[in-house]
Amino acid sequence: MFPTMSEQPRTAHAGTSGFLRLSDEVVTLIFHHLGPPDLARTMRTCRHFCSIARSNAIWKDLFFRHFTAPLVDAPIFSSRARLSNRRDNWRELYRVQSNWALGRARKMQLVLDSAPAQVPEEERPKKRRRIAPGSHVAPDAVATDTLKYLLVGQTVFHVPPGTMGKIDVYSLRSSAPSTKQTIDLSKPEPVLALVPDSTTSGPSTRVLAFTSKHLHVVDLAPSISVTTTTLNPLSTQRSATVLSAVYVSSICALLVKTTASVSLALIHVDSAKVLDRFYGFPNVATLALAAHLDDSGRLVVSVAFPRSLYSPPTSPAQHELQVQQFMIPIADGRAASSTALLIPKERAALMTPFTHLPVTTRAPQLHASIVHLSVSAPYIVGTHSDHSVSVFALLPDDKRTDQLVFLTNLIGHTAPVVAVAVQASGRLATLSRDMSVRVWQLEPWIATGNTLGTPPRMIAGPGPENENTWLFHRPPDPLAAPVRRTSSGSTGFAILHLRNTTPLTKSTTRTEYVEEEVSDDEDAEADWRRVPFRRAVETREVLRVRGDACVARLRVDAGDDPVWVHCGKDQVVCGLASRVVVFDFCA
Amino acid sequence: MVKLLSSDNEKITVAQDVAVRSMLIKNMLEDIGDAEDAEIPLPNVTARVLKKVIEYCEHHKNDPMPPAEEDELGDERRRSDDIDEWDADYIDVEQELLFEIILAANYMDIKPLLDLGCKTVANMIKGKTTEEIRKTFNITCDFTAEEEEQIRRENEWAEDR
Repeated sequence: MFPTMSEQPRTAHAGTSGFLRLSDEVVTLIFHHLGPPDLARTMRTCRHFCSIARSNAIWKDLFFRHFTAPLVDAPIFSSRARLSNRRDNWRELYRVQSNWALGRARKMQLVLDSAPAQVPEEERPKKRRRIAPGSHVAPDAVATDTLKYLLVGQTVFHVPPGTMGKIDVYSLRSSAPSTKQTIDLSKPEPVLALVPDSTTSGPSTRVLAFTSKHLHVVDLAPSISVTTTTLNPLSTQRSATVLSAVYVSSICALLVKTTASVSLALIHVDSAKVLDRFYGFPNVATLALAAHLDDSGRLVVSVAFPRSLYSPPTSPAQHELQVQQFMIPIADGRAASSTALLIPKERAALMTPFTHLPVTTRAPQLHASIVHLSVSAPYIVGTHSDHSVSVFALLPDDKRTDQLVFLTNLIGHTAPVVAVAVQASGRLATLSRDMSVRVWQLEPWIATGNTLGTPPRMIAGPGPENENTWLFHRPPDPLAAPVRRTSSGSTGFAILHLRNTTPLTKSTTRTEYVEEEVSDDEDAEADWRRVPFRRAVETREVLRVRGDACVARLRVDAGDDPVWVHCGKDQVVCGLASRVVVFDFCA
Repeated sequence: MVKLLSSDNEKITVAQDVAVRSMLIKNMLEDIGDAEDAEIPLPNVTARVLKKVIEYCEHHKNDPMPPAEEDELGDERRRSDDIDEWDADYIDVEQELLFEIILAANYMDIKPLLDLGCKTVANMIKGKTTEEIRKTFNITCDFTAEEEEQIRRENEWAEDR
C-alpha cells in the first residue's frame, strides 16, 4: 500500500554517474537554475542531457523570466513561412527575442540605383539636394521622399529622384541577387507617391502610383501589371507634393501640399474620381493621415497636424497636436458627412488597445515643436526638434469614440529623427540623422498568459512628494549580469511609479502598472538598455513593469541621407537615399 | 514520535514535527491515523542517507511550510545564489551522497531540500566547459564527433546571452 519510487533508476547508466540516476523531472529542476550558456554547454555532454536541456519547458520558462513579453508574439510570428515550424520552439523564440534585446541582427545592404535618368543636374528640383547629417532639415524633404519608397513583403519599390514615370523594384530576399526591375508607367510625369493597399492585414498585392495627371494601379500578382487611368489633376502646380496617403477599401486618401494650401483628397480608386477635397489645414509639411473602417462600415480618415502654440505646454491638453477625423460612408460612395476635432486629453484614465485596462497619461516635461508625424493606428508619433519622439494614441473611450491621448516621450537620439515606423503591436522604429535606428517597445504588457518572474521587493513608499512613487529593490537581472553590459552591476535600486491601481475586489486581482526609473543615471545609455529587461512580474497582486524603452539600437553607416524606416516582425528596414539597410533578427 | 524503517532495515525514531517536513510521511501519517507504533518503511532510502535527511529536517523544523502549489516554481527556488550558511555547509558532501540526498528528497517529497540539492548541482555546472562538466559528473559522451559539432554550432549564439 505504500508508494514506491515512481521512476526506477536509469539502469543503462547505473554506476557511471549519480547524476544520470536522477529522474528526468529532477534533472529538469536542476536545469531550471541554468542560463543559456550553461544550458548550451550541458547539451553537449551526452544525449540524455541534450534532450532535457533543449526541452520547451526549460526555454519557455527562461523566456518569461528574462523578457516581459514576446516582442514577436507567437500568433503573429507564425504568419512568416520561414518561422512557422519554429512557433513552438521556445529555444528559437528565445534566440530571436534576445537578438532583438541585444541588437544582434544580420545586416544586409541593398544599393539603390538612384542616379537621375536624363535629367541634367541644374534641372533637378532644388529641394532634392542632399542635406548633411545634423544640419537643419527642411520638413518638406522628409515627408515627400518617404512616399517614394515602399516595402511590400520583401520587395522594395523606389522612385529614383528626377525620373519620369519610372519605379525601380528590388528584392530583399537574400537568396535572390538584388537585380533591379523597372516598372515603366508610360507617362512622362514625376511619380508623386506610392501607396500600398492596406485593406487587409497581409502583404499588399496592389500598389497605387500617383502622378500629377494619372492614377496607375500596379497589381503585383501573379505578375506585375499596370492599369493607368486619367485623374482629375490633384494640383495644377508643378510643385505639388503628396505628404501622406492611405488606401483602404476602394478609397485612397491623400494629403496634397501646394505652395498655397494643404488639402485632403479622397479618391475612388476604381473610377479614379476625386470624391471630395477638404481644405483648412495649416500649410506646413508635418501632417499625416491614417484611415480605417469602423463598425458601421464608415471609413474614418484621421488627419494629424501640429497646432501653433505661443507658449510652452503645461498639460497634454495644450500639446501641439490635434487630429481631425472625417467619417465617410462607403456604401453610397458619397464623401464625408461628419468631422470631429480631437485635442490631447487632460490626464484621464483611458483604455489601452490590448488589455482594456485604463492607463493614465503624463505631461511632457519639455517644449518642442513637432516636425514630423506618422500615423499608424492607434499610434501617432511626432518627432521634436530636440531629437526626442512623442507618442500619442487614438484610443476609443467607453462611448466608442476616439480620444487622443499623450502616451510617452522617448529620449535617446542625438540628432533629429527623420522617419518613424509603428506597428500596431506597440513596436516603434525611429531613424535619425545620428545614423542609427532605435527600436522601442511601447506596450510590453501585451497579454501573454502566465508570466513569471522575481517581484521587485518594496523598500519604501509611498514617497514624500508623490504618493504613487515607491522605492523598490531591483532584483538581479539575468541579462544585465555579464560585466561587459553594465558597469554598475546587476542589482540596484529602482524607483517605480505605480501607473494605476484598480481596487481589489473579490472577483478581480489588483493590477498595478509600474514604470521604472533607474536611479543611477550616470550611464544613461546603459540604463535605457536595461529597462526592457525588467521582468514582467505577476504575483498574487499582479505587477508588471512598463518599459517605454529602447530595445535595440542599430548603426547605419554614415554618408547617406536617411529617408524612411520600416519595422517588421523580425526585421527593421532602413531606407537611405541610395541604400536600403536590412537588419534581420532571425538570422 | 515516528518510527522510520530504512531500506537496510534500520529503525530510526524521529519527532513528529521533524518527520512531517516530508510530505510523503505527513500524508502517510494522516492515512494511518493515530496508530502509535506504526513503522513507516522507506524502501528507497538507506539509513546513512536517511540520517542525513533527518539532520536537515531537524534544523528546518520551524520553517514555514512551503506552498502547496506544485507546478509553479516559486521565485525563491529560482535563485541559486541564495543558499544560507548552514545549508551550504550541510550540502557540502561528496557527490554520490549529494545525489542520494536529491533522490531521497524527491522520493520523500521534501521540496526545500530538493531545491537545495538542485541548486547545488546547478552551481557545480555553472561556468564549466562541456568537458569539465563530463569530468565532474563522470559522464561518458555518447555523441559522435559530427553530432557534437552540430549541437555546438546550433547553440553557438547562447554563449554570450
